[in-house]
Amino acid sequence: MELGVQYFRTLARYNAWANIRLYDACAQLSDTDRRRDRKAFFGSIHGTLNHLLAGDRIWMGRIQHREHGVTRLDEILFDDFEELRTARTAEDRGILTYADGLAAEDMLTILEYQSFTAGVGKTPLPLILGHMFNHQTHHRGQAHAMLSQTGMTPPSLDLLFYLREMEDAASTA
Amino acid sequence: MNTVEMFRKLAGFNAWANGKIYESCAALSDDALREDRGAFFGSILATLNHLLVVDRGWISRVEGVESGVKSLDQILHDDLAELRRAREAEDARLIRLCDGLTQDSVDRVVSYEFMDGTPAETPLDVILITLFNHQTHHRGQIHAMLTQAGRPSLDLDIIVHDFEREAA
Repeated sequence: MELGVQYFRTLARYNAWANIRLYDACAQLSDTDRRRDRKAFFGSIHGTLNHLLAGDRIWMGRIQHREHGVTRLDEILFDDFEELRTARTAEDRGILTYADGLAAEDMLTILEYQSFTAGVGKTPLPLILGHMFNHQTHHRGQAHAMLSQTGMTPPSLDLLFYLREMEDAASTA
Repeated sequence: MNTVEMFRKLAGFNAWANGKIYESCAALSDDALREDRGAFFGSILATLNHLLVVDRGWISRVEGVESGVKSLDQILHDDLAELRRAREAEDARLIRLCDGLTQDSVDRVVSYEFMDGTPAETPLDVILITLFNHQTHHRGQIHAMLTQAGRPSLDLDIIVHDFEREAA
């Protein structure tokens, strides 16, 4: 697998898959349980899911040179869980479309942007994308810990598990 | 940036992020480290052990050597300081592995056995991608448990690591 476009296409698909699994698990909780402050950095499961969407919107906005509309890293973009879920699905579709449209020469791009916290950045696009996908996994890890703490068995979000599922699906198709 | 360069960056990032995590853990009491906080592997100490177990398991498979790992929830080191030394050694091992990668060999097929003895094969670049993701996932869990234990948040962003390296 040559890095660059194929790698990021795989991560974009994995992100969409993992978010579906995560949100399905979160949907089983009461709204109260989702909002309970469990002392993660963004407090609750609800806060963490919102932050993840905010983070992805910020990065995709920067990468695609358009307004992202996010004003703070802890912004609650959607107070209603189902609206958040709908927005999440749309964002993941957008990330997939973007990744599918990547060309090898895009990997040479240097992105300039204004960070919320760390000044002006000038970073190669592959590292930005690597960061964005890593950031998603990090916060899903937090959410996963909080889900187990409610007493439920959260879904596996393992990338190797996802890749094997895809292989199995391909071989039985 | 090609595959090999990305993996070298991620190996350096992994060592840096683990350093920050362990530094924060060192400020906790032994009880706080061992408290079952309801994460998949229970406590911070058990989750740190799981991470080392999986890293050692996969790196050993890639190197074609015995890992000594018996189960995913194995406690390799019950003492944080010993675990930290083992962690640093494993992170250095992963950096060396990635330093030795070439574009031609990075997708070579690695043959190994699952823990139940079933033979399997996976390309090396797939192994590494899943390994780096797995590390971030469990560090995310540990991060949540650390803030729950009253420790301040740690910035574990790849971007921050890159900024810090460039500033150095």
